[in-house]
Amino acid sequence: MIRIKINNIFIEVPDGTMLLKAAEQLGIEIPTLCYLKDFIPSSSCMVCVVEDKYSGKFLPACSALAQTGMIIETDNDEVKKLRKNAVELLLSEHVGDCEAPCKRACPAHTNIPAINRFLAKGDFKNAAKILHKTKHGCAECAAPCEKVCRRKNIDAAVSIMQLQEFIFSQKDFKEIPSSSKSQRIAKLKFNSSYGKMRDNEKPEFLKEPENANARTEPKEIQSGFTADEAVAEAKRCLHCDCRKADICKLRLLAEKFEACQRIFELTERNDVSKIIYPENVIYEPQKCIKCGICIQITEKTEEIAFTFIGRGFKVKIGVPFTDKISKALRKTAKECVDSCPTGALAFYKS
Amino acid sequence: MIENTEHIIQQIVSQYGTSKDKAIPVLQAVQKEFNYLPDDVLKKVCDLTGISYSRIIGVSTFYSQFRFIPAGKHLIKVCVGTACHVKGAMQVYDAFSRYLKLNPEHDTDKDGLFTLKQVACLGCCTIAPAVQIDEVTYGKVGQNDIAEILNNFLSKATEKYVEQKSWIRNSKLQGEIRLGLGSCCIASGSEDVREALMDGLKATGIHTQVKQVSCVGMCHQVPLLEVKDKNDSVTFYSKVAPQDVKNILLKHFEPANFVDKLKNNLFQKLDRLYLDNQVSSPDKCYLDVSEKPVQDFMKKQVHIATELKGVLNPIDIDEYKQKGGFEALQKCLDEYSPEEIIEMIKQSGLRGRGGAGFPTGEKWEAVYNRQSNIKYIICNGDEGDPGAFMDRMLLESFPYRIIEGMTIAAYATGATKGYFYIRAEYRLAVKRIREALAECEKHGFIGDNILNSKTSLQIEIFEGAGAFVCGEETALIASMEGKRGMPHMRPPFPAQQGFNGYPTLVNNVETFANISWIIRNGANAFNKIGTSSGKGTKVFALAGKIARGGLIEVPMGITIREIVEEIGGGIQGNKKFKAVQIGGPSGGCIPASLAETPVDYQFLNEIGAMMGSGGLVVLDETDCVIDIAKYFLSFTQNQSCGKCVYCRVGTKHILNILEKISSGKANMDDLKKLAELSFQVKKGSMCGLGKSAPNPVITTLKYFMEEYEAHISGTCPAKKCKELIMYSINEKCIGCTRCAQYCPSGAIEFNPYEKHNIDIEKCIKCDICKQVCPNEAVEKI
Repeated sequence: MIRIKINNIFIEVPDGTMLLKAAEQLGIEIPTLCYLKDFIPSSSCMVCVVEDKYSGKFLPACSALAQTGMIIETDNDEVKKLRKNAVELLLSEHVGDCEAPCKRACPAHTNIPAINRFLAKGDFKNAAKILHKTKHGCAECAAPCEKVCRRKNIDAAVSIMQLQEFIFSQKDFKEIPSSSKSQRIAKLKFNSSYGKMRDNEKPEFLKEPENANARTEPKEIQSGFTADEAVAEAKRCLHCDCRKADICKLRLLAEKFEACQRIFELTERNDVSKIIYPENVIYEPQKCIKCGICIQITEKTEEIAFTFIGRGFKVKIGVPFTDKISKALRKTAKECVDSCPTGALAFYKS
Repeated sequence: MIENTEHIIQQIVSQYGTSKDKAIPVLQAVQKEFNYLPDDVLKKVCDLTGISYSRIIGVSTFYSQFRFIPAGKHLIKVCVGTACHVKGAMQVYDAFSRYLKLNPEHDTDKDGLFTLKQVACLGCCTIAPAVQIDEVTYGKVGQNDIAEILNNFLSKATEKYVEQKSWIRNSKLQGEIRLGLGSCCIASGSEDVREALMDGLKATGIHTQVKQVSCVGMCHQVPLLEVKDKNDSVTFYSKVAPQDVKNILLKHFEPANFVDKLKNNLFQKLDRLYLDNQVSSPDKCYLDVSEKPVQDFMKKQVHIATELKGVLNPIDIDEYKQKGGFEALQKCLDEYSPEEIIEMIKQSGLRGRGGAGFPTGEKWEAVYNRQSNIKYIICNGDEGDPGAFMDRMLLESFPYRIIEGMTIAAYATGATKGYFYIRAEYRLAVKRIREALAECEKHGFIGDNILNSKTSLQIEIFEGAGAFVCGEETALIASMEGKRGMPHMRPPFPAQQGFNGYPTLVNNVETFANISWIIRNGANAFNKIGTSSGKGTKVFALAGKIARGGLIEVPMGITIREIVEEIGGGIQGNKKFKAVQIGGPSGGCIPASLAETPVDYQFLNEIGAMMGSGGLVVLDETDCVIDIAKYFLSFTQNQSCGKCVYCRVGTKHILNILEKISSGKANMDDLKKLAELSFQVKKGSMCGLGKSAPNPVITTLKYFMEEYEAHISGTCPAKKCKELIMYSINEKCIGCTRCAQYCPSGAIEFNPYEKHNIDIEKCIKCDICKQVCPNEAVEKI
């Protein structure tokens, strides 16, 4: 047995126990990001850092083993600062919007991309559920949503206003209860955003929308969109929002630590890229924190597994020999998406 | 796929085997064959070995040795190590790039003849800037030498390969001639001198022995020839040129017979008549060893790891034995138990020479104490620090001593399988070790039942594939297992769970080189040398702006001033001594004001530097510390494995801020941020690479704050940072047009006999005009 002290409390643990486990036994919570139970800890994010006052070293609690004589402090100021900076460093290379510009511009904070996804599937009921919150409707609004719509950079903004009018005009709209799920989640203040869309990023953004055509105009201007037209127009949405905006561990930690994305700024941000995998999975490498959990998952069962490619700052996660993408993620899509701590791997038609 | 290709791959795979841990040697062999790693070839390798596609890509993209686009026929490697950097390696690189008309996307010229590459450190720091084309090394390369070098190389490449003559020892011969043939000696022309010697001996009929010897360490004097005549009196000749050789021979040796004598006299006179300027008098090269500079260079040194330097023939096992070699091993096997040896090493106070300085005896004990049928021993020769070449020199010069040290360690720890992990760039070191291992095997010093004892040790060589982080022991082991060289948290230490999960002892080359001396002379003799926190000696690669560079071995506790001024003879060319960079990218810059600091683990740590592996680069007043800090950070940033965020992203930000500072665009807030981030990266990184990466910044901020502030206000005091200087021609211009002829960007108009001017818009600040001006008329403002 090994005797150590954590936050001034002595504890005895068996040889080979990780500090994270030892702290857990004392009911001390250490924040984690890249750590996932049952996986080999990658110790890449350094969010679980603690200080060993005995050796004066700062250690990742997920992989550092308890050693006789350790005097661990899990939340002193230096540790807190290291955690916050670690998240800020990760954010400095993170390119992506937590929430879509339209949602952020909307006075009612309506989740417009989510509505569009339902509309695109012809699921007007669920679309209406989300919109229901917006009691007064959109009629009076100056439509800041359309002004900031990223599709504007490619051809024309999505007709968000007309789409909302279409939903309002559905005859059973009033009877639909508002979505309870979106109300439960407290609004997060932290928002990652990456600024202007670059020309070379346009093809990347056009990978998701099923409709690459110009803006749909209703045949009957007076009566607005028909159902088919609404579906077609909703399919123009670029889905700028992060599909895991409410559960992304990076965002939740950024919120918790009050991190600032701009404290460390790279001279040039990376280009947005979107890779579509089978089983409805979208991979956005610029949101990846390189923890390698997906590598560990796919290595076990997939014909073609993820791997680290390159080294150092330029390292990325991908599949070998590009022509094999279709063979990856066949069995493990759900596990990978659920385990990915950020929005890098997500189901894009959710 | 062409059938032949498939056949080649099959052969390679059957040679190395199909196990996963052979991934790196297989990839190296494949690349050697195809000159890069084509996708279909990689896939074939996977099919034959069972290594997965993902793994092969993961591994091959990790190491910088591997290429994925075809390379030119010849590879030009411009060394951008520290010593080369301070002597203008980047300018040389740019000059090659301009000459071959390359751009950032294309590293190969359009004819596919040359590929240009920057390499971490060729370990030829004393002849900086160094460039290696395939196997040929060129030293002291200037920006204007490009065409000449390429032509010289091409003419060499077309020559028929001449089988190296074996040099046979013959006790009947009178006298001997010793010639150092380390990589840097060869780069300075020793090989040509050797050829001239052989030709000279043939022509004169003189019977004497030419012996290649271990590195003498006086790299500033090479090619160095030591002539021991028949009366055993020794004369040194330095900086010898091939045309000097014949006269040196005739001065000390009698030609074989009367006819030869006459013939020679006649030819010599004829030579004098017709080729007056080509024949030189031997006195020109005469180096008086009693002369003060040589005395100074040698005086303060103590040779343990480099014992018998300049005397031993590196691969002559009989000579090594005659001079006391393998006595220590014999003694250990006959007289001492493993516990006694470990105790002796502990007593000696020897600490790891790779950088961190962990007590060697304790490390051995940890491996010894593990119960396991299989134990490994690894000699870490993955010397990657820019500005360091100690390990290469030791491997090239004293292969038997290192093998002996390793064998003793194997006996003491119970290891039965050993590996030399050597950087692939160190071709000569790999070759010598390979030869030495074969000899040892033949003589029973390694293999089964060493010297008829129960101890057995098999040793193999593993060639590293280009990743600085693999100097870290857990990363080194990962790469030997055929994985990406990423470190992991310790514990478990290699002594507990190392190579393939078995207890493993990893020691640095220099550490092993000390062992036999300690056994032969006793722990106390070693313990007496040095300071309280550092026992014994340390080998340093002394380079940079120093008068006498070279490989030196000094007792711990010697001061920086003694090294720089006494051994190194002070700064070149009457410049002012500014600082020493010690410990490479993990170390720091120590200002001249702290020159009295004794060199040992503790004192160096106290002032924020680090012993490191032994690079010691001297800087003068024309070196900018921000440039140096930026240089090291771009190195570590490039070498980061990418595992933990502080090293992967943090070092990138540190480098960004430094770039901002050196371009004059930073403000005081940036300085504050730089300092804060540096400390955070030091604390928050996982392994030694990240933890020590900010040291060059932290020490320069500490000792050269005023220089940082000067950059913020827009001036570079050393006139080094390109964005903050301009070139201009002053009144001293004599209108010779040299600058205009050499200017690669057409910024200087051809204007004979009149004062020239530089068009600032066109100037690329390559410094050529300043270098070629005969009258110091070009200045930086």
